[in-house]
Amino acid sequence: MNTHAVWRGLVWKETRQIVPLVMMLLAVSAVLFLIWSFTSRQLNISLRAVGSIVPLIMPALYAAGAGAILVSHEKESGTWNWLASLPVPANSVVATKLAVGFGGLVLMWIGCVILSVVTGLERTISAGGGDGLAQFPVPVWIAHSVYVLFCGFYTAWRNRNAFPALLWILPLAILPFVVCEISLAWSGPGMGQYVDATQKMWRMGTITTIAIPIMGWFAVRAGQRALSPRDADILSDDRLQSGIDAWRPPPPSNMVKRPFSNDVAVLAWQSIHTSRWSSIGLVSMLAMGAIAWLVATNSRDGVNGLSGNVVGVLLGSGLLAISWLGVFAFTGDGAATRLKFLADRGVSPARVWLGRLGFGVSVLCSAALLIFAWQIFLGSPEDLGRMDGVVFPEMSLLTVVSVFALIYGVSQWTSQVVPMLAASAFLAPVLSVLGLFFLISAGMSYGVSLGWLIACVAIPFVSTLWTMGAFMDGRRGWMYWTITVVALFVFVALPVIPVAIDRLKFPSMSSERFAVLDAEARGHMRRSSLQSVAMRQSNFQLYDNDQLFFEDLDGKVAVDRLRQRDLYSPDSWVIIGDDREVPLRADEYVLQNALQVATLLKLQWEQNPEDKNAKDQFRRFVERITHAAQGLRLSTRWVDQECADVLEIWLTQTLADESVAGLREEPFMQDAIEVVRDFEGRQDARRRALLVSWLRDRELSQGRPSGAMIAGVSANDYWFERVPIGWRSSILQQGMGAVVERCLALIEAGRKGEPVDAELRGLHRLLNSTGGEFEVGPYGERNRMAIGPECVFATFQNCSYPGTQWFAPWEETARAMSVHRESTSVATVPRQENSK
Amino acid sequence: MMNAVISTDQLTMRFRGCDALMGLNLNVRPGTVFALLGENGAGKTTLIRILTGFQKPTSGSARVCEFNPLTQPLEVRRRVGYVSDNPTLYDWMSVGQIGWFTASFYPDGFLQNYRESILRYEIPEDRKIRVLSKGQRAKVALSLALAHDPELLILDEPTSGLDPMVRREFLESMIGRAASGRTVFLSSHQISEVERVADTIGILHNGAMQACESLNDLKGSMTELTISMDDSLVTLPELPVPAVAMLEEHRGRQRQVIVRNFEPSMISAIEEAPGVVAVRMRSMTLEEIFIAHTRRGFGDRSSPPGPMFDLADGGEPNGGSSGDAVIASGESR
Amino acid sequence: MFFTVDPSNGVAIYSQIVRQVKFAVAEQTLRPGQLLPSVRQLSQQLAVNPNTVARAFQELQSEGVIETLRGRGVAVCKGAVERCRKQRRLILADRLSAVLTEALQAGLSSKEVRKLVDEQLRALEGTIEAISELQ
Repeated sequence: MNTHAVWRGLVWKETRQIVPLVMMLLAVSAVLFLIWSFTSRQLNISLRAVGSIVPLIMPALYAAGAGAILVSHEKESGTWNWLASLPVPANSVVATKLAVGFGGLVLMWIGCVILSVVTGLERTISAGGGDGLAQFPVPVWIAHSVYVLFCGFYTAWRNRNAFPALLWILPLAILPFVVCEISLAWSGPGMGQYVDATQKMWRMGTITTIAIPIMGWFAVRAGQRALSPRDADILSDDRLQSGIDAWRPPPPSNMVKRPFSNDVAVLAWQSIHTSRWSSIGLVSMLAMGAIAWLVATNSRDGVNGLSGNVVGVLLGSGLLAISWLGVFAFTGDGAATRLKFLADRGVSPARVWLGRLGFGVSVLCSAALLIFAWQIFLGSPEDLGRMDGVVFPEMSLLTVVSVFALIYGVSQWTSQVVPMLAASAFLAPVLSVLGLFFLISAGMSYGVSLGWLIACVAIPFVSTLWTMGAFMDGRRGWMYWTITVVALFVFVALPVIPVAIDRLKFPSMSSERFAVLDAEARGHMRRSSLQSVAMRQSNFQLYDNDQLFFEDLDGKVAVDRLRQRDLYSPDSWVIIGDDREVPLRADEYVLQNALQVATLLKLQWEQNPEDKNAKDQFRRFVERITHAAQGLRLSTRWVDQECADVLEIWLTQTLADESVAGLREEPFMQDAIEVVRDFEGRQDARRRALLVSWLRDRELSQGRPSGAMIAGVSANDYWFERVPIGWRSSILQQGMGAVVERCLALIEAGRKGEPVDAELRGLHRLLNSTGGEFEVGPYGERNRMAIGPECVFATFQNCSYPGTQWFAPWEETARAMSVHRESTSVATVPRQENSK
Repeated sequence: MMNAVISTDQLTMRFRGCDALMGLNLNVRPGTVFALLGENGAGKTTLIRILTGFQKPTSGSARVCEFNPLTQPLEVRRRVGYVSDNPTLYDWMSVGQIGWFTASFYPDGFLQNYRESILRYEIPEDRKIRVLSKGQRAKVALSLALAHDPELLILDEPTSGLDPMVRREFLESMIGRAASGRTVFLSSHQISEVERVADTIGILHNGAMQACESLNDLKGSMTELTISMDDSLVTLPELPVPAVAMLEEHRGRQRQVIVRNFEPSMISAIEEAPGVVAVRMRSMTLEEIFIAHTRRGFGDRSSPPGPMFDLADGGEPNGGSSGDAVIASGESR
Repeated sequence: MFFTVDPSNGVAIYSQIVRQVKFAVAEQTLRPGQLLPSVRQLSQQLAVNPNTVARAFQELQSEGVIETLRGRGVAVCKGAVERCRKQRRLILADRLSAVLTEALQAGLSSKEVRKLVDEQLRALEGTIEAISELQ
């Protein structure tokens, strides 16, 4: 026997068997990477965290599956026995399988590294640090995957069926983590102290490295034992009757006295008892996951450190159990070849479907009800603020059931489509988590309603039910695949439909108007080319520049310095330069303070009308404010126009105020009247500012990926807050265009003196983020200023919405003011009736 | 005399809840075709698994081609070709690929022989095993087992469920091997084939060899007597020595006795016994002999006759025919 | 020459082969000096154990019906025809004796038996004539 030929033959065979798994996992990884790299631009934090785990999980999945494919599959199909009847040394077989498995693992790692470099993921991963799984750097993960590979071979050789072998990998894989935590808790710092991350990493690394040869030795030994003659069963000698035998109950008869009367019940019985230990294992995993969930949602002190990891692991294994319950449904006894037994006897596919899924569904319902009942029993605290320590918020029964149903549904779909257990056992959890994230992001980020999502959850069940007949007969023709592919397509497309509908209904500017307005805007922009100037306050700080903040300032020095400041001079409060032709940029804080000081000075003068100083101070402020209003009007930013409105409102209020009637003839007041009564100029300024802001925003956001705000030029992000965040940024430009169009319509209507209520309502519908009533919104009656005895002090609170004060009663009052040098009285015009 | 190809010594195999083999002693001489008959579950497959080194017996030992299958399974497998029923070959390989794969474990010449064999059976080499029919698959398995010219060919019900054409091919292979001086160990239910091709028959029942003799001796040694009595209550007369009654049945006034070592001259002696009306004798076919051996109460002289109910349980097998192997002499080449 | 064996008719296979060879020689289907197929060939042809065929050949050889020719195989002996015809007679006599015993045991008298035999002979007259011509 040629040794070289032996190796060649065995290596060829093992490689041919493992290649499909490697290809499949790499393909899935590639798909996941692509999805990750396309969605990461949305700054979706949770998705980023998931994405960084993917290249670590894929090789681990391969490591767990290699044993199943190379060993369990051979055992189940019987070729293992045939191979053992050939004169091939046990060591060669074992060594070849392990070597090929290892080679595949190396391939997987290389593939994942390449993929992550290509999509730019490696920056996230190589940093290490972070919480949870990402806290270990890549070499530790590589070592762990080798360890899991050996675990997989060990359990595959020890177990007859693939399913228990896969289940047993889990506790073995977790073992190094457990050992690491225990050893750290034992020898490390006391409770409550922070464990050094580097130390943890080194310890984990050493433990895993030690575990690799141990598990490797176990695996080799198990393989050799699997190929050597099987031991005779040790049998108790029947003749030896010990005393205890008299007490032992007689062995129960295995036969059920009467068969089940319901065929669905008997199918469910079959699915449980096929592999009793698997059923028990899965149910207990699920139960522990449910308990972990209850702990996570109700533990006030939070879960950290060891218990945190335990809870996380239990939750993860609970989810995995749900997925594997789904895989259970159509593998093993549910595989097409075995179901043929039922098909030959004329059992209807629908009942078989119910029977296969019955066990899993009932277990999941019990788990959900358990969680629900326990939540009710524990209750929720009345004060939600006390929920701070809790890891997850409580979820409603519907949410829990939907999540279960989705994971279970996608898993059972996968197991029906993919016939090989080892492949579907790994594909199913990956796909169901994918589906979960897909639907969650559709619901939360894209605003798809719950009804659509639940319809999506139902699709996998419908698909498997429909194809059940073909599946049972083993016919996988074009009909089967058509239904499956169509169902998949519907699943992916269904949440997209309502989103697409909403997007289409979103208002926008029509293209003809666009062309016209664009031309006009470009004209305005060409003409107004002056650089704008910002406004500022003077420095009110009492400290010296080089003094440190926490040093106390001497009180006397502070008072002296304070006195040095002239707090009644406009140069302290609003500095805008002297040039009247320069456009200004508004600072709401500065202006608000200025108005307040001006009002104070007005009151001071009212109390002492004879005080020249007071009048002078007041005069200077009014002049400054008038100058500011004029400068703001020159600006091409629409927010500046809104601030100018507020200033003009204040001026109008002041001008109309009876108590300063005496000053009305003064030149500064007349100048103010000139400014506020310029109705047409104001509308022109507004129009110009609107158009140029819109144009500049479009041009500046060309290069940026999403419609980012540029400090007041562009549409504000919170204008469209009722639009789901998933597609909000993509409609910012469109929305701004719609706003501009409505504002221009508002200007046109107001100019002609028509009632503007319809346009205001239109703007409210478009912009109001809280979605409240029109009357209480920024465009409502209450907000629009009128000049009268009960008028309120003007504030800048609504400057973020364009047009709130346009054509409000104050504009009429302002327009009606007349300029003449003789004393006149300005009739306070009663509030105009706006047609509602 | 050459050493036995297969020899077992007090081979015992106990499983949970059942005793498959109890103190089996077996010797198969080289160049013969040994056929093992037994009911399903009698322990035939267990015996074969022990001989090929798959199973460790509870006690006792076995030697195959002068090697111990427990300690030197590789040596045993190099010299043995094994075909089971429903052979599980690698479905995804093609006929040619599995030959190439298997050839790596055997000396040179394997592949050549295999390909000739496949050509003779007219199976295309590039076809995947998955799509072969049952018969073609069995032929492939047989080719794989014979391509290294094994000293011993072990067949475990290889033709169950196959059409007569394929069975004929297997038969011819067995005969070819025997004609070349190789040994064949066959476990089968096809009694008609066994009758054609076997040198020695072993009947395995209740964990022990109820009979292990040459085919002709076994067939010739059993006779079925139908004795008509004039009264249904009269017991049967004693049979003249050396005839031995193995199994008795009665129906009305007739008794049917299966007798060993019966001579036709004994008929007159029985006819003259009191109460006997008539005696008819018939030689039994191998199938009938086999079924008789597996009936309860066979060979137990202490158990009373009766087809309707059994007063005693299975009972100990006849000491003469089980346990030690009985190889009839006179079978020479 | 075509041989047939029936494993389950109660007669040992080797005896059946021996009988068929003897009958063939007696009717001169096999002539003296004619070669018989080898043990291996015959066993494969009939699908029986070669040992069985070997045993049959051995018995035929010990009765002088066939002889081994070195290097060429097995052939019919010269004086085998007469011997085989005698043997054939003996064999047929045995078979007749068995039938007659059965008839007598069934209760028929010898006169009835003789009547039966005559009837049967008369019925067969004419159909088997061709063979008797060969004598």
